[in-house]
Amino acid sequence: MTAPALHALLFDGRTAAAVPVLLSVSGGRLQVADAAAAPLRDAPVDRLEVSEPFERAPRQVALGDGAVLEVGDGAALSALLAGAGRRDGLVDRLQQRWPVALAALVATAGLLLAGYLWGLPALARQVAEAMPAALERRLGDGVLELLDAQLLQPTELPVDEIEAVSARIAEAAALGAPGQRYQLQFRASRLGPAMNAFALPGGTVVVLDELVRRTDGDDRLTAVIGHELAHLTRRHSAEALVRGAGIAGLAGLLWGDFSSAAANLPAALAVLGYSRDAEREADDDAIRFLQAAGRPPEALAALLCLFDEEGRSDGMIHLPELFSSHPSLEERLAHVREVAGIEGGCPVEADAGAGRPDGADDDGAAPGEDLDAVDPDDGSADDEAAPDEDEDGEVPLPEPPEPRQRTI
Amino acid sequence: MSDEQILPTQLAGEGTAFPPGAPWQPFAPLPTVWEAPLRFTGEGGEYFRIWLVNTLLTLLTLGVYSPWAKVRKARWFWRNTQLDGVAFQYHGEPLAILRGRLLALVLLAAYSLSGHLARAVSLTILAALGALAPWLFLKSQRFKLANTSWRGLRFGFDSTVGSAYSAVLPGVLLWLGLAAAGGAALEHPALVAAVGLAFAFSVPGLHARLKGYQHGHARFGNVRFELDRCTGAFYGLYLKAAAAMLAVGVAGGAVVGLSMATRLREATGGPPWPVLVAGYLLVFLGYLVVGPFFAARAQQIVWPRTHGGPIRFATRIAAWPLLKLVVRSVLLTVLTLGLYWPYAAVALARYRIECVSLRSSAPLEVVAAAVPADPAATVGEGAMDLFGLDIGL
Repeated sequence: MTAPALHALLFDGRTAAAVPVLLSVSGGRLQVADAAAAPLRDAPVDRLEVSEPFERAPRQVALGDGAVLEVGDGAALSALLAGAGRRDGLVDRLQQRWPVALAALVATAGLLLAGYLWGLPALARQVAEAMPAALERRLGDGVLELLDAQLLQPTELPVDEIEAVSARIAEAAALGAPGQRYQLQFRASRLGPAMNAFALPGGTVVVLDELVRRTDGDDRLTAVIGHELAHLTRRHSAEALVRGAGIAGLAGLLWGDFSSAAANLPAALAVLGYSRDAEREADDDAIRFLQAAGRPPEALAALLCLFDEEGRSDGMIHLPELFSSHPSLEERLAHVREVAGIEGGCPVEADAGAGRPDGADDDGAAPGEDLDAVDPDDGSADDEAAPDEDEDGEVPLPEPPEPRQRTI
Repeated sequence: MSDEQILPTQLAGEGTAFPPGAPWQPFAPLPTVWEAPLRFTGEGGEYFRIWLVNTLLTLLTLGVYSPWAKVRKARWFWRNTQLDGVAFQYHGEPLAILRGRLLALVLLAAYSLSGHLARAVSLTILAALGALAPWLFLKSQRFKLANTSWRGLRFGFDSTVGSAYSAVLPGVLLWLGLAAAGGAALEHPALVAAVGLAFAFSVPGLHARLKGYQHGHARFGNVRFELDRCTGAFYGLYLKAAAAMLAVGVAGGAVVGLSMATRLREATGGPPWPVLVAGYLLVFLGYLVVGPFFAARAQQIVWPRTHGGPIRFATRIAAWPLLKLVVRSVLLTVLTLGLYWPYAAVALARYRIECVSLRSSAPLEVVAAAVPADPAATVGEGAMDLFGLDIGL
């Protein structure tokens, strides 16, 4: 017995000519007959190569000898083959059903969220811990080489000041972060005064002259070092490297066929989100560092105030936090004050350009330090031409993930 | 309509060439001048489902499934493309693509790791990739075409390795030269400017050369295609595009510069970043406008100059409709966090595909016959894909 016949076109695979045919199944074989019901070909149903069902596209059946059938009525073909015990594939059926597709949407969103919140950070921690110290050092050396070639120049600080500052820091580090190896490198910025410090993978902490000058090398500088040593101890650079690669791969899988530029933006935002978390961790560690070293935790708050002040007098471009590698200064300050139990705000006048407080004494911990001899015009426009060197949290545009130095 | 004879042009004019259950009519004797547009039958909703299910599977398998997903999507697009009432078919093997992608991944990882550690190694890898690029391009073209069929006949790409190198290598060398010079931008600005200028002046010619290579080695069955010379047309196109980009750049730069100047005059200044963002946005919108114009004009140059045997192509693609589509696609895709993308991809594919039509002085089924099968090696496709070098069309 035979199932009802199905119309199709037969192409023999040697010419482009089409022959209208009728299909039927009998005895586990697909029978191909011409319009006059004369048999043309037949092939075992389980050997056929059948293209999956789509809503509005014809389906093709390869007979195995180079000949191809094109069938307009895909549902009828499914029915015909099902009669011979051949079903469409699982994914073929799943992707035709709306409930499945919507469930896939929910599952995808859930997977992405879980991967972002837990999966990738956990993986990054594992890889960072397994990363050989020598490899980390080479990475850090490479970055410093690059920075020296393009953005940094030798320090202009007097040798005795460097020695004094280093000794102070060593004293605090021995108590605050015992066992953490580090190496201080003093540099000046080639692109105008930049008040900054950053840790490189492998243990190098680069301190820019402007930061030493503006903090007088007092406990505020110690707070900076506490923050940077936390980045080193927690191997944030190595983690960032792994997370960046993971995020980039994921974004490419998801949006790569839309546009690689479009894939980069969410990737960059995700990486910045991780970076802000790392900064919060480093701030918390810096407070513990100061306490263990017997220094006032207020120094960290005072340091952040200094950055805040700098940003205001500069007219820095403040991007929304979403686009920033650091949490906002307001948030960091509030958090530090809460953790360290400090009252009060920054000693900032409403008009930052209105002259400088004279003769205030300079114990570093107290929120009342003077601005020294810094000219308010110092942070001039050319500062903004240096996206890599700008202060705390102001990143003009999200950058693609790559091994990056941690800045305070 | 049971006894009526259907002309291919009428058939192709209908939305669906295969009304379910309708009997197939034998074709009428074909007219000497035969013309049929490409049709696209797919709907965004179906592609949305396919995209979602396959994206989830790709994520669950940590990317291993991605070649299968790619092949499914390609099958959907090709099988929803019809000429003369018959659909195209895509035969790409996921395993072959997976092999190519793994190779590309290894190379990419080696390149980016060595970039941090040993400059010499990474430069060697880059040079090797540059040296292999024409061969990879040949492979990827062959994979694409040899895995596409219509009316039971495969397309193909017949090129010697030599002609691949003569067509592709000059562009690769120039590009590598530009990249190398870019690294020395601070020390030798004059050198960089010279290489940049050489690049700018030769790109239109190289683009024309590449198109000529792509179209000139393609075949359907035993029908070989050719592309008439179009170097001059490409220079004209690039000149216009460059002028438009310059105008956009100047306008954007003016906005940014103005905001800077204002801020400098006011000494302290408020946060000018909204103005900056507006400037960047202007430049981005410029790209958004110039891009589709460029794409549409390039198609207008290439298709009417493509022919094979008695077959000629035509396109009615136009810049404005394409621009409207692109703007709409980008906006909705961004607003929906990417969820509109499958719909956008379908709308764009439909427009681009349905603009193209074929004309022949003899019926296609008489023109074309098979040539002996040539199993296509597939390293090319996966590698091209991952390095983002896929040039398309």
